[in-house]
Amino acid sequence: MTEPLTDLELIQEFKNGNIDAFEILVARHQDGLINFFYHCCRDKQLAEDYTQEVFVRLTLFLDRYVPRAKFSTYLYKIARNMWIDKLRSEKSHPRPVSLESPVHGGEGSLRDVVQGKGDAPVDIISRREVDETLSKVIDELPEELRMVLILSELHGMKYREIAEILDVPIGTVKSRMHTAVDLLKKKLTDRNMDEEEE
Amino acid sequence: MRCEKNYDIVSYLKEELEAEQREEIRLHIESCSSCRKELDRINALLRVVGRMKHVDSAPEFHERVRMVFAREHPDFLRRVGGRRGRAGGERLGWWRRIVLDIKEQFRYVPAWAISGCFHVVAIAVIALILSNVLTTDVKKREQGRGGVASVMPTPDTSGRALTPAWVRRNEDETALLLKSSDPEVRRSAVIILGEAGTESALRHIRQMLDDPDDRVSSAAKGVLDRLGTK
Repeated sequence: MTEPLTDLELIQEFKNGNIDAFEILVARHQDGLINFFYHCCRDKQLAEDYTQEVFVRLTLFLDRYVPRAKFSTYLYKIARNMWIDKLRSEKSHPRPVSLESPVHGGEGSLRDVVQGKGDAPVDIISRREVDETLSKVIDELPEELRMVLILSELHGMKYREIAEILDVPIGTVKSRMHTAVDLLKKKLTDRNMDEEEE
Repeated sequence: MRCEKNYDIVSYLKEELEAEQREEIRLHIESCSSCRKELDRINALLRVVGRMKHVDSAPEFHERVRMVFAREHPDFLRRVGGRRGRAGGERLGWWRRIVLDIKEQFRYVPAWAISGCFHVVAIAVIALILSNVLTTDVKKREQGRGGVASVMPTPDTSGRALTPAWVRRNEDETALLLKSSDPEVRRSAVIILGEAGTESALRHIRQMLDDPDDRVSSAAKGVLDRLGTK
């Protein structure tokens, strides 16, 4: 079967003045970018605004784009740089999280997930509540660790792609990912112990 | 008891290790309950992270991007070589749009099928052109070699066509007309050959004295009389 229109073909069309090609590019990548920003800022409206801005920035930087890496990698690089800019201008302060947040009608908790208890925690816990709790814990991670975790786990990117987006060696990505998971476990456990003492 | 090996289980789960290293960890996990437990724990955590809430874009998001784009960069289309868009995003280049739409429609059609179709059409067009050229060429050659129309004098060119020089140059072709089944053609040929006045022309004309049609034999006799020879 033929390959779908590649991003590069669409970019060329766009450079030739075809705005329809731009719209196809937007349609192809908008959901990924919105989710990237959503997991950065936890605000869907803001995530959409940031995504719009990425596409506008893309039109400005398109002449500089050299197709060495995947186009999506280039796009996420713009997104990541933009997010860093936003962070510098407005710092967010995540609220504390409780590991005892009830999940699945009180049958399990995020602590169970962290401690590896239960048969299949992911299958039994309430998605919405775990999302809320876990989101807050992830938000507390240092930015460079959080970014690796989001790109790896929520966007399914390989270490190589993440390294290109963040402009760091693959070894650094690997080490950040390892640290992020360790820290995530530690934070969840610490919170659990704090709440048990209370 | 905690294992002292301290393997990179995260990279193992993410399949980001070399085959050899991966195999080493796999074998170790089979025999180490501590690492197996750690693997289950990390796996569960990553699965939960990976299955966190996914948001969908608003239905009007696409339109909003287009409007923001047009508002922020009204000169962009001119810069990239297209026509300038108005606010709201003018759709440019209908031909490009058609091409793009077609490509999108056929994006899952095998490349060899599309390529094959183009080749068949191209061959058909070339064959058609060649056939036309050859037909025209054959017609021209036929006219040049003995077509009656090319030899017979036409009313508007008779002054030039019946000059002795022309007939002498075309004597053989003209002589062929003496074998025509049409007596009028044979008679005309006799008269034309008479204009040439060469020995071979006279020889042809003499043969026509025995023509069964009186008009032809009379014409031959008249020409020979005019030239003073029989």
